[in-house]
Amino acid sequence: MRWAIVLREQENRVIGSCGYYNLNEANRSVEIGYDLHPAHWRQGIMTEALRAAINYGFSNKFPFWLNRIEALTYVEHEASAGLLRKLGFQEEGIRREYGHFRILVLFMRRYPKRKAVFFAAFLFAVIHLNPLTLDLHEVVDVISIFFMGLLFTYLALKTGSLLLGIIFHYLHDVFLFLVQNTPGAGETLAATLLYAFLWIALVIGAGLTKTIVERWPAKGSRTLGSQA
Amino acid sequence: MVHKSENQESGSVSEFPVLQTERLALREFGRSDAQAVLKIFSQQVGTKYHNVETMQSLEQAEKLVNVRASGDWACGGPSF
Repeated sequence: MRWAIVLREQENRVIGSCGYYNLNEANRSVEIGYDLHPAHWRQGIMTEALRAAINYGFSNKFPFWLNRIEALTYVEHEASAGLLRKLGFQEEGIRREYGHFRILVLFMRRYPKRKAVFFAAFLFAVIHLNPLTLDLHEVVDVISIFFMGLLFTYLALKTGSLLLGIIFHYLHDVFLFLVQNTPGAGETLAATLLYAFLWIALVIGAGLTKTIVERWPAKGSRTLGSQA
Repeated sequence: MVHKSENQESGSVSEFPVLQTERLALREFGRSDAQAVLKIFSQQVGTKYHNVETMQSLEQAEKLVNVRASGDWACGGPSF
């Protein structure tokens, strides 16, 4: 349920809204959310609106008896946190990776999943281009980086976490750093094989992740793709 | 205070609770509120701390208003 907030002298012009969502009757809890036109910030409007909404929530007019009202804000949004504190809310913690609207998530809101994955990987590849040293060799490198981006995106989508991608990226860069700083190592068969092994490990890892995630799905919500 | 509204999906009548405060009225959303909603969410500052994408067309605002105005008010969809 969502209330439209209007000034009493101008009832047809909505300046914001507030309301309840994620009603959970079994747990007797609910989440509260709100928005307000920036022109009306810092005037105590939302305090007044939420006070009414919360009173209603804890009254016997609410669809069920309520024990708990939850609210989410962005960590950096001090004004919103201050408002909640003023209304008697207590901070309980930070939802990790909840509101991080990464480039992939932004793309996924706009495009179908496959397209979003493609764009994210493409961007990952393009930002690796160095305009100062641009040559054919580097363009070829970027193609392989694109495929690496595809795999990272796949891992992030499957596991709801960036961890595997970060680990592989780290291993990959450490390997390249070692090879490039050891004279002659780049040409050895061992280095080539090791590099190939890294890639094979990534592909196998992605395949394994799919199996593991599908067989033992994580409990609780995945929040990577949260949307309005 | 309560006012009556038609539940469009089931055709049943549900009561939407209108609330009054000193300066404000909290009422039900209607289709004509889309323009005002667009004004809130068409600016970066309005969506920066909200899980709504910055809106570029009235159509996007209408979509959100329709969700907010939809009949079964006791069922809350995901939103901040």
